[in-house]
Amino acid sequence: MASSTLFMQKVKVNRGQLILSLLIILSAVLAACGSGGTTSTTSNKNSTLVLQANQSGDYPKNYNPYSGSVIGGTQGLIYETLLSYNRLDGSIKPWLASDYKVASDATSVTFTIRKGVKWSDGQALTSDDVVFTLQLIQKYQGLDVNGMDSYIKSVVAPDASTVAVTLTKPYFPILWYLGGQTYIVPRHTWSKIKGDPSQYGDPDPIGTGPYVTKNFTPQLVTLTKNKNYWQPGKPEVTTIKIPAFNSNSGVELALEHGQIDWTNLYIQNVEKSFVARSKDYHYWYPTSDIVYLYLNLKKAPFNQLAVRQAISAAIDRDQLNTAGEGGYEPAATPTGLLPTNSSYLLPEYKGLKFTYNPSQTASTLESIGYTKGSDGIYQKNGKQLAFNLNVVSGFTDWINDAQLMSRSLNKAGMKVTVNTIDYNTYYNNLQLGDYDTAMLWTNPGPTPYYLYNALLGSTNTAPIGQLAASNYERWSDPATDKLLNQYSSTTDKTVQMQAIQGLQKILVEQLPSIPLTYEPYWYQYSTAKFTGWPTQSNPYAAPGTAEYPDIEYVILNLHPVN
Amino acid sequence: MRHILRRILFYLVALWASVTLNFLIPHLAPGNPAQALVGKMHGRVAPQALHALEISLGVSHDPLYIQYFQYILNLIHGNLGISVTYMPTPVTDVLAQELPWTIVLVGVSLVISFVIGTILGIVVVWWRGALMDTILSPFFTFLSAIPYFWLALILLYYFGAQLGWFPLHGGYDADNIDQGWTIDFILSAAQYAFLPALTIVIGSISGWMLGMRNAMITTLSEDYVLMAEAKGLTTWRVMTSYAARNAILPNVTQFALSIGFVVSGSILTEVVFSYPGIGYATLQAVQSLDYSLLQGIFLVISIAVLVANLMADVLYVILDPRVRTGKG
Repeated sequence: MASSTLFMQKVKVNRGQLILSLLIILSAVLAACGSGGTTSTTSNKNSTLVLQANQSGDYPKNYNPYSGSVIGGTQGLIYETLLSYNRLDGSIKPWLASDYKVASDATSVTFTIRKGVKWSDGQALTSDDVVFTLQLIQKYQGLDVNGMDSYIKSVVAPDASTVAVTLTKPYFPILWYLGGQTYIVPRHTWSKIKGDPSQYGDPDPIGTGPYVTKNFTPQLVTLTKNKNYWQPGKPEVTTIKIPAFNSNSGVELALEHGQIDWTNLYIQNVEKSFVARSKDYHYWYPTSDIVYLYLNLKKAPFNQLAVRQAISAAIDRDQLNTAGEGGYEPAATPTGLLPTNSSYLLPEYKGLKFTYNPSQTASTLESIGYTKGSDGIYQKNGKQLAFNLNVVSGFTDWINDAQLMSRSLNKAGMKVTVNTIDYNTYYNNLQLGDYDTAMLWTNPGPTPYYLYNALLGSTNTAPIGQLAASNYERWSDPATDKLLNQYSSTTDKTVQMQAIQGLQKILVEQLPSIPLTYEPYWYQYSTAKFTGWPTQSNPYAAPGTAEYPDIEYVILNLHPVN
Repeated sequence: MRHILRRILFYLVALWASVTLNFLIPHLAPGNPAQALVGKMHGRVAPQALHALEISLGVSHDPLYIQYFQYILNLIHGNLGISVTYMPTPVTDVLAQELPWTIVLVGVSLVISFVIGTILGIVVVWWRGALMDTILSPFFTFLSAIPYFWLALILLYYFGAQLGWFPLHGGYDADNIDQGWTIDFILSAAQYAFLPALTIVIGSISGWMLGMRNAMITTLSEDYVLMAEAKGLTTWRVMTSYAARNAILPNVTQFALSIGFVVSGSILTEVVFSYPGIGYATLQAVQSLDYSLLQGIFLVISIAVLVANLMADVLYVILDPRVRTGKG
């Protein structure tokens, strides 16, 4: 026993010395490189654009534009669409299609494929590739992220530069999905994919876009100029770098120190913490969509219009903007239109605004038989006007908003409990209709139709307990559907205009959900290395790095600074 | 030997239980990966996308017990499935990609803080009441009380952003250096790891030090220490061989357990420094309801913790004669 202890002791001392000396060496090495090579600058950095695509950690090697886990920031740069939409004003530019035509009854769309476009491997783009892409989407539902299949009857190519899409019924909005959101893939490589292409990682993409892949590591994706690109002289930005980040604060720090040129961030007090740091630092926050207070219309008392109006009147939207959102999210208007869609505005609604008016809340509630109890809360038939307001934990600005709302609603005689829940649970509850009220954004598009359709169309809702696509308040109204159908089944601008105006009326008069504030495209950029960014005076594309394929239009407009 | 065999049998049962829990817990969360992904896209997706995503992500609508047997069957074949967060990467590849970063960063920091903390614990006790003890003990207690997230952000802001001594994000200079076992890569990785490692060490060193200090104080009052001093042994000998050797037992157990948890990564470090690793992958997997990846990560953690426990058991047999002879 004694000898073994002695032996142990000896080994232990030696091991300890070994670890100690290893540690000393290691710390010396660490210290040496810590003080030594700081930031190594690469040559020719001027034509390299660094952009923030997301902040969700390391990348998978996935360039498939139809995959849910595609590397953000590559859509549009490698694969392109037939048309180029400006989401801000709905204007359309020919892209891979040099021309397009929608039949006057909106039952077919014909694209003329641009001549001289080559895939990055040198082969020519033909109508065959477009037909292949569309038929692939029809065949594999996993690719059909825009739900086009039910509208497409047939896709044919009468000749090498024409593609004719026949629809099952008149459906004008499909032009945006077909032309603006469908990435054309090459038949000669994609036809060799085995199995469902939506599960394909596309490690070596061949596209028509301005960039090809150069280098992939899970922490940095590098794209370089496509020498076969069809637009002469473009792109001027020769290299794109997309680093992986794990948090917004990490991106912000890198942005402030000039390591990223283009971001998509919410920055507290952006003027002081970002713009003031350099004359090259700018931001622009044009409106993207509207944040609503969704009300579960299948539940009492939200099925009563008067209650919805009473809630709306007791919300101080200007306070939400200034105290909750740092002044970046102005109050929305009752029509549910974005400021950029003002041409659609029904003339009688010009200048219409929400006003914070708690006394109107009181009179509205009293008119339908509510009485104020001794605790200051309205009640009817012994039932208090009490409900939950769901908001996502971690969305600090929304939590502020929710608390501001609950305070003013409580003051107006409603018992509102703010319910801060984890994102997945919160979203699942919305989809299943298991909530009272909740804050959420809307799904915008190039015209107001898309936002109204997602919010109000009965095809996008579902009974309580089943998954609704986007109409979470579960508004189901034949008159609304008729107007949506009126818009989608014609190409006549006047008839479409009337439909949108009818929808405004429904939103104003029936208040299916309550518009709160405008949500902007978050967009910061640096002019230190590049000029030509979209600005208020030159709004040629939706800015920010999260809109695809729109980032392509921005990058093609950039010029390196000498 | 029978003691070890019994423990191994126990660990096998524990492994099965943890594998089952690994399966059940992620599936108890509401929703499915496609719903989570639609949510993540913040309205930048057509309402119709949900159905397409369910298909492309391979969302299964089979009853849970069938999915469980499929999972067990795949596990036996060493197939952990495909990660939907990192589609189409297999879970084994995600683990192989992220684990080395974590093991090196968290493992090295753990060893450093264990060694330094334990040594400091011994030293301050030996000269307890002296200047070093009165300064060091409260100082490290103070350090450990600082919220880790805040400490890491401050260090990153000051040393990374203000002074520019250290990079702001990432695991190595991915811009100029290829990943591989080259001198350039190792030096770059060491430079990028320094600040994250420093924050982990600062955050955890006091635990080791105070643990050691408390155990030492108890041991020093034992008769055999007095006996050793009375025999006229050198101070160094009494401190290391008589006092520290016995006092270190709880710290060794703790160390073995910590080694098991090394593979779970350090989420906060990875978030603040945008450092690659398994912790952030876990966070992503939870947020995207990536069942396969979560099961894979939990499996690695369970195995590592069980193995570490087994090692601690074995180590105890070696270090503590009372366990070896089976006498209390």
